[in-house]
Amino acid sequence: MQRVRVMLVEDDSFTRTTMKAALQLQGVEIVHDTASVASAMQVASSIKPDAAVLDLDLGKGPNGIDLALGLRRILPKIGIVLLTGFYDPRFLDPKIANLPAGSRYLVKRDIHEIEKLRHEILLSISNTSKSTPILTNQFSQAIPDAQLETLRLIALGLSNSEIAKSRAVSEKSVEQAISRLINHFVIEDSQINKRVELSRLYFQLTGSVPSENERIS
Amino acid sequence: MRGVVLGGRHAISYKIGLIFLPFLIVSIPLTEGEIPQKLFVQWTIVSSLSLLVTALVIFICDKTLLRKRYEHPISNGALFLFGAFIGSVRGIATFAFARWIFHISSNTLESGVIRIGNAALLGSLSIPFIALISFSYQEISRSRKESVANLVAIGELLEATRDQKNQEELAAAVADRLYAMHNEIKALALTQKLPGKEELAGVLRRLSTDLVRPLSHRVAKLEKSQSNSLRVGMSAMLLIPDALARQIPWIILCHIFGEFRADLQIFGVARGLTLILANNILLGILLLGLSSLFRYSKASISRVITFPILIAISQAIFSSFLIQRFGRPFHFSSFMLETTWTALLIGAISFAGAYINTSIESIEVSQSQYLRKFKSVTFQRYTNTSASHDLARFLHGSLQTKLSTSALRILQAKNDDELRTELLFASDYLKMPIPLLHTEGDRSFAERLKEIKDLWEPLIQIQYNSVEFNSDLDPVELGNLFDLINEAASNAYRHGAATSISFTIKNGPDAIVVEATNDGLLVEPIKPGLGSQIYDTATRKNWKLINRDNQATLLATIPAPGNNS
Repeated sequence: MQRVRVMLVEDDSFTRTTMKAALQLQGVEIVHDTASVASAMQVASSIKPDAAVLDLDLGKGPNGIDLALGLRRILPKIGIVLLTGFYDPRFLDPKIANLPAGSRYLVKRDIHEIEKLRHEILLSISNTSKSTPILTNQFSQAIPDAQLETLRLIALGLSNSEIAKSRAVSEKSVEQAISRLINHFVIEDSQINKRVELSRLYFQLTGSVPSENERIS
Repeated sequence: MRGVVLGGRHAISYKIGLIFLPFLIVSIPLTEGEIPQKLFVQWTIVSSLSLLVTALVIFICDKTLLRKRYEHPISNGALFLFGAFIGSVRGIATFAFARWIFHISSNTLESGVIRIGNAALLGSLSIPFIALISFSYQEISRSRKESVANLVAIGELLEATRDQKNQEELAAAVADRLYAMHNEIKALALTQKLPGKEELAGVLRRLSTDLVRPLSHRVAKLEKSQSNSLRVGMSAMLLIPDALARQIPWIILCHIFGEFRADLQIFGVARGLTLILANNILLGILLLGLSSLFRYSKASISRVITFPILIAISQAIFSSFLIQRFGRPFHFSSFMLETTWTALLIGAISFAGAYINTSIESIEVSQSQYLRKFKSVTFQRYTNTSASHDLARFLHGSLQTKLSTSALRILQAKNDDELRTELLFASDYLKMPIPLLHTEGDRSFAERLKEIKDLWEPLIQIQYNSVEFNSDLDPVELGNLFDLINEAASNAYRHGAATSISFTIKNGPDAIVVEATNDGLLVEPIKPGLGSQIYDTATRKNWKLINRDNQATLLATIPAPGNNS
């Protein structure tokens, strides 16, 4: 069977090296590994990888989705696997571009075995024509941008009036957004402070702090 | 509160019951009116023994009938029934001990029946009441634990989210402040008609003491932890009936309930009802009046004692006066009973209310600490680096001293030229630390433009058509300019699917004008607040996106006061 040829773009060199070694053990051929968007774009057309495993947060400048869109321009059939600590890409940037069709979105902390990553790489190659990207975590998908931005601002410690000012909306709209967030995340316990709980959820979703389950384990 | 919340573990609470022990013991001898000392002692022993029997029955119920209440809480109705049962046990035990052991003559069968009825009634109120206090106490403990957990989470957060971007934001904030001062002094130096020497020296001294010094303190202070741990003394404060207004109806209701039967029995229906009505109207007025009086006073434990006692004594005096008007003799024991009962009632109900309120307050305290923490995150991060020490030292030592010295020199200046020169020196002092605050400060303009180009170039071609570069540009203006260029490239690629973007940068007298044209999709209006913050911040909302010659163009003006093109 032909080996899968993969390009790896990850700005953390330790993670990149570890992942490269682990994928190679799984029979995946790493044709290029880099921390730089420029390097990835320069070699993509010549080495023609089957798939690209990209970190979402690549530091200053373009992010993983920007790179994925660039790679698809050159190689329309390339499979895209995005690796990230964010449960929703909008947490990295509220106005982030849409994920390319058929791309796989993986949260690093949800990957317990490298076999899963290999499986996702294979799926990304066979699903490039699908119109909807597949997220492995659906937790925050149904939240509109405005609510997500409100959630971020709550977590930053802003009051309702400050959020309203920042988003150029009325305080009532902010209250409605918060109420919808509370419903969305099913925060029913009247003894829990909703704002604190929403902040906690935000930081759990962005991977900044571990969730309760992770703490226990 | 859920319907069965009191019927779980709180249905029997020995600890809270013990608090009421003295009242439970003296309640029986006090209700006997004017009695000789020997009889008083006998009734006290009877009361204690009956209490012992009651405690035993409660213990047996705890281990048998109610043993599964932790998993399957009993309903509130059942709790009232349980209370009535326990109360009647107490009444029967009291009657039995008084009749067959102490042979107290006043303990007739009729009075025994009334006693048992009263005890059942009181029991049906007391047991749920004790359960309520126990529940409230547990809630307080839980919310305190949650507060601590929140603070721990914040600590983790501070560690987890420390990053370069926030340091830059902080540095920019300090730089902005200094830059504003720099502009203020520079503007003064360039005015046609200079103000007087005293006034100018005053301006510099004010800047030194009112602005630079607090800024340095702010930076230096943040080296210490800003976390204020939850007050240890909070548990003592829980006992203070702070928000009595909400408990007043309950106090009056229980008060009416407690005296209803006895008053009707002793004074008849008409007079009894009048007495109850008058007593409780007065009680309501006293409660409202004193709670308003205490509302803004400093919270203290003494309030817990003085508040109920003051009301109880006033109400008992009034009640005694009314009783005498009804032609009944006044007994000191009745007065004491009335005082004790009312004081305990107010105390107990307001305690319960305070427990619940403080539980909510505790969460609010936790929330406000949580939010305050977030707001101070940026500053804290910066001060964790050694740069903060240097900055604080520079602001407090060097800059403050220089400004003060400038103020002295201005006073000694012989003419306007010397004044202007000194003012310009002072404005330069303020500008000096600004580059230190920018991590990009040591890199050239061209290098930073190239860096943006290199970052985006594989995805979108960036062209700098005409760049007028003024080497005198401030780091703040430069930072805004580079942020705007990066954002324009990013937006053109992400949302316009552009393959190229060209920038024209011009130096104006008071602004830098940027024109960015890309070959992507034509633009649609962008909602303020979502996506335009970087443009808004850099240009102070002086920007627009237009479609020109079938191309999307950004026109932005970055304010740069005193910019010499």
